[in-house]
Amino acid sequence: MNPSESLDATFTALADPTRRAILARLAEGEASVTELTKPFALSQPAVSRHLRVLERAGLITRGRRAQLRPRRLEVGPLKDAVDWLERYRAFWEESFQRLDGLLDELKEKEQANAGKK
Amino acid sequence: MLEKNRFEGDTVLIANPGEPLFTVTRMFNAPARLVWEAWTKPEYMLRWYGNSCMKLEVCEMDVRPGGTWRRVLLMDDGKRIGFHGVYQEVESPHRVVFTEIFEPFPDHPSVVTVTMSERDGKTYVKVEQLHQSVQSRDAHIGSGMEKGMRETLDRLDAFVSAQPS
Repeated sequence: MNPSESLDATFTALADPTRRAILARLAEGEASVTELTKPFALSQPAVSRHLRVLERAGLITRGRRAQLRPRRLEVGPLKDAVDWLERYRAFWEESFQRLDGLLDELKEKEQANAGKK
Repeated sequence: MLEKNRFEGDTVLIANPGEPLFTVTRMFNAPARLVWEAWTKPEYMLRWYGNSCMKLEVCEMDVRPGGTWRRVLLMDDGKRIGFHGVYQEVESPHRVVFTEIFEPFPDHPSVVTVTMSERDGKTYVKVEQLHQSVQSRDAHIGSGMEKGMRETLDRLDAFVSAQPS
């Protein structure tokens, strides 16, 4: 996946409330599919489908511990998403600081013109 | 939802993962008619839009419904990226809606709505960018159940920030 596709995968994976709840649970520590199924009114296959979406987005990985294969949260893609959002915000903030300066200038010009009348 | 810097005067970004929408808000210490001019006259936009690594080089705009616009940003590595679109709604000095195509990805247009609300000589500007793509359409699914989403993402955000990179 290129960076843009992987951001799309991250945002798509985050778009579902069940998947966000799963990630929040995994943020506290790794857990097996059975443990992850418990808090939800969902079947194990349904939870497994969500886990596959999260896995494809690289947001979680499987541990090797015997048959439990506990899932764990991977921080990289989330961090990329947060960084991307921060760059988007910073672009606007820098532009807006210049816009503040321009607006001050336009206000002064307007006042000067009003004074002449 | 990731919300940063909630102080008045700061730029706030709201990204709700339940919908393909990014919202940026900011308060400006000027009346709406001046903010409108700064957003709709190329000679003004050339002076403020961009950042230290991306300089606005070309800015063309025909601000009326059906009119087109184009901007080219010159990156500090010498590359240029173009954006263009068509104005859909123009209500001076309160609201302007236009399509935006990021030229490297011409098949994924987004729609940008800029609203300006003036109060006591200050103007609150909201920029909403709605993305349209297969991924963003998929992202609409699940947007009906946003309970607890904000806390979840706040926790994830805190968790991610705490990790060594």
